[in-house]
Amino acid sequence: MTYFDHAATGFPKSEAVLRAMTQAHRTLGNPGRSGHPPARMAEELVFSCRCRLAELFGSTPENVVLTPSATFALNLAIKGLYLPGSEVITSDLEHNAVVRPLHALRLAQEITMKQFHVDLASDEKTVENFSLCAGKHAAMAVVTHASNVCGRLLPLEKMRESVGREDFLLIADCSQTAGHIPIDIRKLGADVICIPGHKGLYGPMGTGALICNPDKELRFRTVIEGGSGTQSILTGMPESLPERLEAGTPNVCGIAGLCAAAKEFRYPREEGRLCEMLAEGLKSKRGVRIHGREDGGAYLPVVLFNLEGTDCETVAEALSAKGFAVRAGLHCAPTAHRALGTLETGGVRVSIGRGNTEEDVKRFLSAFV
Amino acid sequence: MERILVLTSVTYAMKAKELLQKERIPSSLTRESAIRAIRSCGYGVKLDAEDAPRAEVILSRAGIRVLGITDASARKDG
Repeated sequence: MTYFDHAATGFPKSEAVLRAMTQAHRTLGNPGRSGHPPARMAEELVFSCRCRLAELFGSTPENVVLTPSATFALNLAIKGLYLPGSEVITSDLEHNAVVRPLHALRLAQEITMKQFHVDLASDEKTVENFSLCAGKHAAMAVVTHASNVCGRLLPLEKMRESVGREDFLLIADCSQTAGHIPIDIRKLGADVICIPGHKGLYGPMGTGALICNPDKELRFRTVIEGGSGTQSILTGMPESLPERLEAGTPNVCGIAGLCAAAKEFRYPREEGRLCEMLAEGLKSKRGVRIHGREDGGAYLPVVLFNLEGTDCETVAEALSAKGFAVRAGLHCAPTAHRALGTLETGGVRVSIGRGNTEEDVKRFLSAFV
Repeated sequence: MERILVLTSVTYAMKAKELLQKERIPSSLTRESAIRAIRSCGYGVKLDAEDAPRAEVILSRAGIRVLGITDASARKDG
């Protein structure tokens, strides 16, 4: 099977990840709870993971909150930082991990929401749309760094700069970009970035992180409360990060895998070229229509297409039968599909990642008549 | 004689230990019961009493809050 579904999860995971998880399972105790060697070793491992993620994303270890997923991190960030009664803005390319928590807060009449349009052909226009949408009143923006449906990268740095207000918060969903392109949270201008551990970083599923800008002093409302290992006499959660947002026993085996993945991680070099080759090749195929890919825009290695007259799920099944793993449907992002004009049809998403070769792309293209 | 600098969490204790190591001040993580007298079941870094004042300054400059300093030898099990 040739794997072209890296936007869902990076595959395969390395042997080092597997070894680290097995070792953790066999040797580690509960971190932050006890003073004996298995607990101590677990603490060192967890701290080491925080340090590596902090290094990769331009933060500090105490600002790295380890979570079960990017979705979990987004929920902690959104529900922990929104100002009751305030306006929150978001883009029309969002995943449900952003759309649904915001929708829940809107239904509870906690916030009002406004959406801005991402202009696929012009970053300048997107920045302008963002700035206008934020206006003078929006308190927070929750925005994807890149679409999981079409791969379009958003100019977050310029978008944040366009809103001069210091108290305006930016939460960036970096689910697709983490591990694909270098991210420095300070340069990005985000207050918080949310990342999965298992996609571009190739850690295990069930891992992720909420990472805070170390220059900002953020006060999070808690969403989950429970044991934190320290300051147990308090009835409330500890004030300081990361423990404030990490109630309960962490996924130590998963964190061990993520730590191993992050330590051996190198930014990819060939993905962009392979994706261009794939997109150009698909364009020349009869009946193929590519969605959401405009000249002049920056993209991650993701291509969305449909085959005229054939349902997207049927196309994905046919490709699977020929040995290609792709993902069809709405990709948990109906908002984005609506913006791209594919809400009714869905689409077939091909996403390139580690291990994919030019030969893989050629064989994929040859599967089309 | 050893002293314990009591910190808010295990993460800050680990960070403090790393920072002190860079400044050539040897320390180790501890959960000794003396810490409880200051604040609950927190973590501390144990170090030579002579190094404690300088360590406190280093940690404070790095933005690491020291909740208190206690004498390691004053601990009681329990």
